[in-house]
Amino acid sequence: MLRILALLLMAGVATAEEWPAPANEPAYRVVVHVSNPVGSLTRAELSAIYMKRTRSWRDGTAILPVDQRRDSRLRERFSRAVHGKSVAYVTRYWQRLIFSGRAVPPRVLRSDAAVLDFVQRHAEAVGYVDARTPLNGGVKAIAVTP
Amino acid sequence: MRPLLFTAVLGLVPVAAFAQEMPEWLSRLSLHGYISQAYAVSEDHPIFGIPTEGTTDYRDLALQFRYDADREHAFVLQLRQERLGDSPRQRDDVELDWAFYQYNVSERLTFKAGRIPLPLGIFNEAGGPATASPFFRPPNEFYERGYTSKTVEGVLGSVSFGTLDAWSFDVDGYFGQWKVDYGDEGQQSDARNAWGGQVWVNTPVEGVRAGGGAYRCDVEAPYGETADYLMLHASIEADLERWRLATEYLSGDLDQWGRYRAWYAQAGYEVTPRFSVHARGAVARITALDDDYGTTTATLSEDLALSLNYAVHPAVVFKLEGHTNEGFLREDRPQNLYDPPSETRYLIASVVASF
Repeated sequence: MLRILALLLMAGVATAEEWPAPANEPAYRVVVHVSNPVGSLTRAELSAIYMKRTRSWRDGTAILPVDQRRDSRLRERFSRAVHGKSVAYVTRYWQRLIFSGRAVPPRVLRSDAAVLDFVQRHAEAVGYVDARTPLNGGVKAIAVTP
Repeated sequence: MRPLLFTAVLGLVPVAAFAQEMPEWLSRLSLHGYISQAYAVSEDHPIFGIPTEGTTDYRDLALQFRYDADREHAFVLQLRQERLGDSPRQRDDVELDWAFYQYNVSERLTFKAGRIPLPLGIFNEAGGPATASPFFRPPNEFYERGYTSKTVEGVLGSVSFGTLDAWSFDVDGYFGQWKVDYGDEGQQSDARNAWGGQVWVNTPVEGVRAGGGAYRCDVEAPYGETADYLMLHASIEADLERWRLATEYLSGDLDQWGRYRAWYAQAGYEVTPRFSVHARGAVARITALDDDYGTTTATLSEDLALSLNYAVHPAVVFKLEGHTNEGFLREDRPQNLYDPPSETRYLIASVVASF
C-alpha cells in the first residue's frame, strides 16, 4: 500500500502543472449600479464584501455581491488580485462557512452579460466583469485602490 | 431505498448548479450539498467500519437548504446520510442533520435556535468531507462521537469583534442537549444540560488562528449513575496559500468512568494548484476506572496517515489515503485494554464533489 502511495506521489509531482503567473494588470473591472454613490473601494474593502465580512454599503443598505463561475479565468485573476488567494483557497473558505451553517457565498452568475444585467436591476449590487466587456447604461465602473 | 436516494442526490447536482441563476423570487433560497464516495479496505482486521474484503458502502452526503428571508432572519435545514461500511455505529438512512432558525441582530451578533451544528474545534461544526479536510473525514480520535456531538439541540449565540486587518475574535456560547455513542453496538445515550463555549483568535495573518473551548454535560448512563462530563479543547490552524497546518488537543473528565485525551497534528503542502500531499498523526488515550480491576491507562488508538489530493475542479477532489492504526478499535471481536493492541493498515480512496 505504501508503494502505491509513493508511486502516485511521484506521478503527481511529475504531472504537476506550473503555478499561474501573477497578474500585473487587472483584467477585470468592478461595476455597481449607476445610482450607487460609491466611486472607489480599496482592495481590502472589496475583499471583505466578497467574503461577506462587510455586508452594508456606507449608507446602511445591504450589499449584494455577485460572483463569476469558479472555473473561470476571470475569477482566478480577481481572486488573486483582490483576496491575494487562489480560487481553491476561497472555495475552502466558503465550504467551511456553508457546511457550518454560518453563511453562503455570493450568488454566481455564468457570464459578464448576466452580471451586468443583474447589477443594472439591483441598486445594491456589486459585480466584476472582463475589462474589455462594454458596459451598458445602467451600471458604472468603480476604481479599486490598493 | 439507498441506491435510489444516492441517484436522486447525484441528479440534483446539475440542477443546483443552474439554480445559481434562478429567477429573482427564488434568490433568497440557497441550495448546497456534497457527496463523498469512497472505496475502503483494511489489511488485518475491520476498523472504522472498513472490512478486510473492502467496501464501497462508505460515503457521506448532505443536502442543505437555506432561506434568508431578509438580513435578520434565516432558516437552515440540512439532510445527511453517512455510511461507514460495516460499522455498528452507522445509521441506515437519511437523517435530519440540522434544522435551525438564525436571527442576525447585527453583522457581528447572531443567535440560532433548533438543531444546530456544534462549534467545537476546527472540523466539528464544519464537518463533512467537502470542507477543508484533506482526508475522508477528520481524525476520529479527536471527533470521537462517544465524547463529542456534531450538533446541539438548543440555542447558540455568536459574536465577533475586532478589525478585519488586525486581531479579531469569534466567540460562541451554547446550551442544550445531544446524544453520545457508547458501547460497541451503536447504542446512544442522552447528554443533557450541556453548556459550553469556544473562542477563536484570528491573527492578522489571513488563515492563521488559535482557539479553545470547553463544555460540560450530564450523560445518562445505560446503567449506574449519570456521569458529569467536562471536556476542554484547544486548536491551532494555519491555512496558508500552499501550507495547511492544524493541531488540536482534547481532554475529557468522564466522571466515574475515567478520562479521555486525544490529540493530532496534520500538515499539508500544495505541490501544484491541483495536487497536494498531507500527513497526519492522531492519538487517543483512555484511563478507565473500574471497581474490580482498578485504574487502567492505555493508548486506545494511534493512527498515522498519508493522503494525496488531486483537484480536477476547485469543488471536485480525489483523495487517496493510507493509514496505519495500532490500538483497541478492531471491530471483529471484543478487545479489552489488558490485551495487546492490534495493528492494521487501511486504505481509503474517495472522490468528493460539492456545490
